[in-house]
Amino acid sequence: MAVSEKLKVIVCDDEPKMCSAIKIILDGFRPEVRTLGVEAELEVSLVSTGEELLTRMETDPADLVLLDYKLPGISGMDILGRFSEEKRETAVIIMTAYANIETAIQATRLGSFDFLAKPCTPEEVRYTVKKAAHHLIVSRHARLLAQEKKRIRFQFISVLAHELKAPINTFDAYLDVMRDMTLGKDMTAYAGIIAKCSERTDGMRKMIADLLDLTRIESGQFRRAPAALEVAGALAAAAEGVAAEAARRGIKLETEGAGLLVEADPSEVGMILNNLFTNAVKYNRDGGLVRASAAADGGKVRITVEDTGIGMEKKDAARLFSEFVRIKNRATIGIPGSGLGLAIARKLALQAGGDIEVESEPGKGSRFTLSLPAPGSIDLKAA
Amino acid sequence: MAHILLIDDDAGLVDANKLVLEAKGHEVSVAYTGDDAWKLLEKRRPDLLVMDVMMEEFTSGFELARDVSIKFPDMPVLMLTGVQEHMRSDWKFDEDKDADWLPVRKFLAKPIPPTKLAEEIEAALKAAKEKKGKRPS
Ligand SMILES: Nc1ncnc2c1ncn2[C@@H]1O[C@H](COP(=O)(O)OP(=O)(O)O)[C@@H](O)[C@H]1O
Repeated sequence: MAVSEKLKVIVCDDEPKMCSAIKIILDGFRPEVRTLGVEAELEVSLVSTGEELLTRMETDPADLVLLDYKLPGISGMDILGRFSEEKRETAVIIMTAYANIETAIQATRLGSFDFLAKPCTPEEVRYTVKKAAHHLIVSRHARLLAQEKKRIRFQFISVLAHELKAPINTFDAYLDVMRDMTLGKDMTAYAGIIAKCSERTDGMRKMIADLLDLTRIESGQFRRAPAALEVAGALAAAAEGVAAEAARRGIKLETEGAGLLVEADPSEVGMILNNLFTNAVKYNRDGGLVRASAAADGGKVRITVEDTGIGMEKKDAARLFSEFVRIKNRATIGIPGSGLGLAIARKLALQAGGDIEVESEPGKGSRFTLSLPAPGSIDLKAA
Repeated sequence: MAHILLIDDDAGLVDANKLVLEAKGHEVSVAYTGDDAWKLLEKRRPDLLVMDVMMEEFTSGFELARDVSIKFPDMPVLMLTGVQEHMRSDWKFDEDKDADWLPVRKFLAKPIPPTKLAEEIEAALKAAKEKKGKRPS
């Protein structure tokens, strides 16, 4: 069912009969913008002079004005001129009994949207109003979309700025300690500080790489080459990538999934699994376990990566896949990261025709489930 | 020498501040969350508290400061804020006007070098001591 959106319409004509005729014609008329799934709900009011129209526009501006060309006081053309001076978005339909090419040209030049020659049939009125309603609703939506895009961009950049500033503030603080020679004149005393600074530069470098991935994915610059991919091999490769860190912390890695195939770009699946495995180790307890397995589920394959780590609250699980979201609490303090990994992983999964979900319990562990299409289940040409 | 509690969720900053304060002979406790801070406060009362406004959620720093000012009315609280840097705003803490409604001794704009923070801490400790000395007990 279409969503209805209000459009305010004013009919301005000094002939009361004309006014009420148009009101009757437009009564219950709901022009539709099918592409947007919107139905315009017209709220029609009537005024009989140009002066009255201008006052009305100040307090309660209309989206659409049906304007008589020949009014007793201020003329239709003057009003058009005023509207364009005031840069109004109002669409104006000029109605005139003296339909000639000159008035039409003049009105168009002054920014009128359309033209109705009197006397006109109800069909003509409805047709012209429908065109205007369509134009108004489409441009309204375009405007909202542009605003929303600006807002999202602004938010993204402020968060990014904050994320870039945090490590710089840390460097500054440590530089101050060194300048002050707080720990004495022996350089070896500063080894801990230096190690912490390199940790932060590594983190920044990783974040920049993640950011580049993210923009590349969003701009569609990733050349995707879906192929039938062995799940067991992909899981083993991802486990391999974190094996050293896992061994260091005594975390056991187990992978299964023999015999299953997915239809996806191998390097993208690699990126997703890498992130899930890295997190499963990073947010695990020492001596914990990471278990990955896969199962066919209709046209999909569900790959789960489970850990025995810190887990998370339900409210945090809901926002995990947004950019820069990092859960801050006692358990996560000191664990480095950009908060971009899961945002990237979900974008890639969605583009591949799959998804990622999380179930988790604080202190017990988390289970991330990546679903991807099985071979033959998607139309490769359409993908 | 005093016992100072640092509350901030940025582990790197806390670490740098701790190094400088310890070098000056202070004892430093660290809390990364408001909850942790409260647990430490209840166990053992520090002489001074340094906290960031922007912990977890924007308001939690203020809430903690208010609770502290009710429970430990004499404890000096220094609050660090990145607000100016974040919002590019020029808002400045005015000790005469704002000290009434903001339950803190002093607002310090982030980023602040650890040595500068240490100076502010010394000054606040001194002021607190003088105030205590003046009051008839
Ligand atoms: N396996 C996990 N267990 C617990 N928390 C996790 C796990 N994976 C991710 N998280 C939480 O989700 C956040 C976002 O993850 P991610 O986007 O990969 O960023 P990063 O790990 O770089 O911070 C992490 O900061 C962490 O708080």
